Amino acid sequence: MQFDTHQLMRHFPELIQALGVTVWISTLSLAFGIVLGAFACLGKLSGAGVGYRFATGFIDFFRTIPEVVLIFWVYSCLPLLLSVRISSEGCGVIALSLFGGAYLAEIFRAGVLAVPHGQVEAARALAVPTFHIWRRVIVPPAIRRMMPAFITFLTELLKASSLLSAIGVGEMAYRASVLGAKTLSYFEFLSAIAVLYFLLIFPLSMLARQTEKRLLRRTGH
Amino acid sequence: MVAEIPTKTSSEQIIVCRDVLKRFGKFEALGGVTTTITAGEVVCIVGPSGGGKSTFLRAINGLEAIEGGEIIVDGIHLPGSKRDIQQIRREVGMVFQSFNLFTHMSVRDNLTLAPITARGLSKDKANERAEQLLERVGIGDQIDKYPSQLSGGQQQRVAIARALAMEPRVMLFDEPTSALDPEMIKEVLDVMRELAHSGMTMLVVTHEMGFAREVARRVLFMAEGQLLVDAPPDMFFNRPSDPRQESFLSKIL
Amino acid sequence: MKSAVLARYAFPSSALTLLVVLSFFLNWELLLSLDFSVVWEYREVLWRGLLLTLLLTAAAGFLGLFFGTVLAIVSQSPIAVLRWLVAAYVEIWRNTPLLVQLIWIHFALPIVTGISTTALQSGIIGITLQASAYFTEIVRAGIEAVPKGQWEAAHALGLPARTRWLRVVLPPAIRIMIPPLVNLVISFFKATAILSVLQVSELMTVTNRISNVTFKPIELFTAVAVIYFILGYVMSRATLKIEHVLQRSER
Repeated sequence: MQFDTHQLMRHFPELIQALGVTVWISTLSLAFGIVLGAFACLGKLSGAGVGYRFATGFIDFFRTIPEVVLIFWVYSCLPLLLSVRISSEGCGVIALSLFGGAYLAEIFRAGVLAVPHGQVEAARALAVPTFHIWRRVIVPPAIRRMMPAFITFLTELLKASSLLSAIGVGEMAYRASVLGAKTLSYFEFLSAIAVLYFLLIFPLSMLARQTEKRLLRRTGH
Repeated sequence: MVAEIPTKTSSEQIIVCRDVLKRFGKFEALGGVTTTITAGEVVCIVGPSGGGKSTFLRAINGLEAIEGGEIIVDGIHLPGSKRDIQQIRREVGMVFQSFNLFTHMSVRDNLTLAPITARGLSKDKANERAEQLLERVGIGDQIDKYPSQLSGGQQQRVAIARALAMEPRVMLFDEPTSALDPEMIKEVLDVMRELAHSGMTMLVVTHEMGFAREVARRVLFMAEGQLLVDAPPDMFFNRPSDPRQESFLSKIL
Repeated sequence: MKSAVLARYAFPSSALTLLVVLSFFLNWELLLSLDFSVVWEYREVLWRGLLLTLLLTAAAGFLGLFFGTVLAIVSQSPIAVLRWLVAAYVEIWRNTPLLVQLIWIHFALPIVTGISTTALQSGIIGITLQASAYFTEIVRAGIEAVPKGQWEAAHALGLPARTRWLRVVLPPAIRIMIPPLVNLVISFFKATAILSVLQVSELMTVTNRISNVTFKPIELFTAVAVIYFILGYVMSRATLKIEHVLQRSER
């Protein structure tokens, strides 16, 4: 069988554009997810009361349902419920942000809880205001400790972006299927984007492993 | 023999405790503790583990909330509002058994964080004060090192300097030398001794009886959440008045 | 202290404001006319879809575990090329999306091999290959966690390779592996929904079809989301119980 590079070359710009869509949508979802996750994390850390129950419910729900189900729900139900037209991309970002927020909330929480409690106590005993305790004593070490899990989440987010092809978002998997169908060169196009995904995700996965090793060496846990 | 300790105001009561009660679930950690600390006093608290000594210390600066009784620190009442607690913590410094230095920050930053954020000092003034205090505790040259690069004794001295940077009126010490290797205990006790001689009001939970005998004006014995004995050192160590105190002393000395 | 109050109430209060704002846009007419009986009407179809979902999860679990164990054993081989091949396989399969793997197996592979597979076959192959890659890592970690001393003792006692594996190495390895294994099964339960892109007739595919026929997406998708959530949540709880039991039996 001949590997038809001719077709690949012709449609290369479209593939690259699809790559851009993948990265752009993932970045947007990440940004919203971080904000959502931070709020949910604080809610869950509050330990009791309305905020806690709300946050825990949010986190448990959006971490347990499959991402595809959420994507289809947002795509099929939300525009109807709100009587407003939402683009596929918009639905995709909403779904991925909700899923991201729930996952990131737990990642942030693990990071915050890993900060030695004694240091927080010392800061309180020094009358350091709560805002500054967070800013100088809790957040910096928490960020370092959560890096491996955060980077791993990035890989999951990129993989989840491929699911948006099911609702017609023009990212890589969608473009490859469409081009494959058009030119019947499924093998070339699907293999090409498989490689592209790998090139995006594998370095991140390695980075996560490296960060984890470095963390183990530094802090011993 | 107790050395003459100069006092700022001879009879100002800095800490007043009346019937302080603290429970953890069913367990009574503090069962009605009543005592007074006057300005410039150095008071040592000794006793068996689990007797309530640390809990008592932590109740004074609000790290533990009390369920009954009252504590008055520098005129401020506990139980109190969050603002009251913050005010108390500005005037009360605490040194922990496990140092609790901010390991991701340099020694300099450890010392300047609180003065800048809690007292509103400028960065320059805070730095100046940090340098002075570190000289005072004997490690001025380590100012830009990180805690992990210092020995246990050096770290505890940084912790003491960090608490002093807030210019507190009272210093609380929670077993400051218990986590140190024996050869480093002396350097920390020397700093504490110097602090006592300079007139600082100090409340020290410790197992170092030599220090208590030499520097304290009063020694308190706490066991099972009760304050059982309150006496000057020579009476405390030579003429014990309580059977539990006697048995404790016989095990220690 | 003010910021602590802020933090505690920030999430629910901003979520509440969002909901209040949204409620102005909410199509109340639609909400009040929701008719969940459609879910009951199609319960048989949905049930069959769910069964297939569970079947696929089990297939991914068992087949994946089998192949994963084989690969894990191969990864311990003294031959460097074999070790690298397993490592390459694992990295490729873990660092590409399942969806891409599925459509590649279904559309691209037949072109190369000349054999065309049904949606179900492609789905099972795809999910099994993915599962194997993840299981390999877990089994490998379990094997490598067994102290080398036990290996050597078994070797010194002259036990044949098979006995060495079955009696000495695998039992303690299995205990270490069980929590991550169970977690993996849960993630495969979620992954089965992705098979809907190939129209494999599991729960998600079926829901899509019914929704297209009845034009009642809200009722259907919401109900199915709840079903997935309940099952997933129950499985997570079971996992926690298993972990507790294992911890306690750890003498």
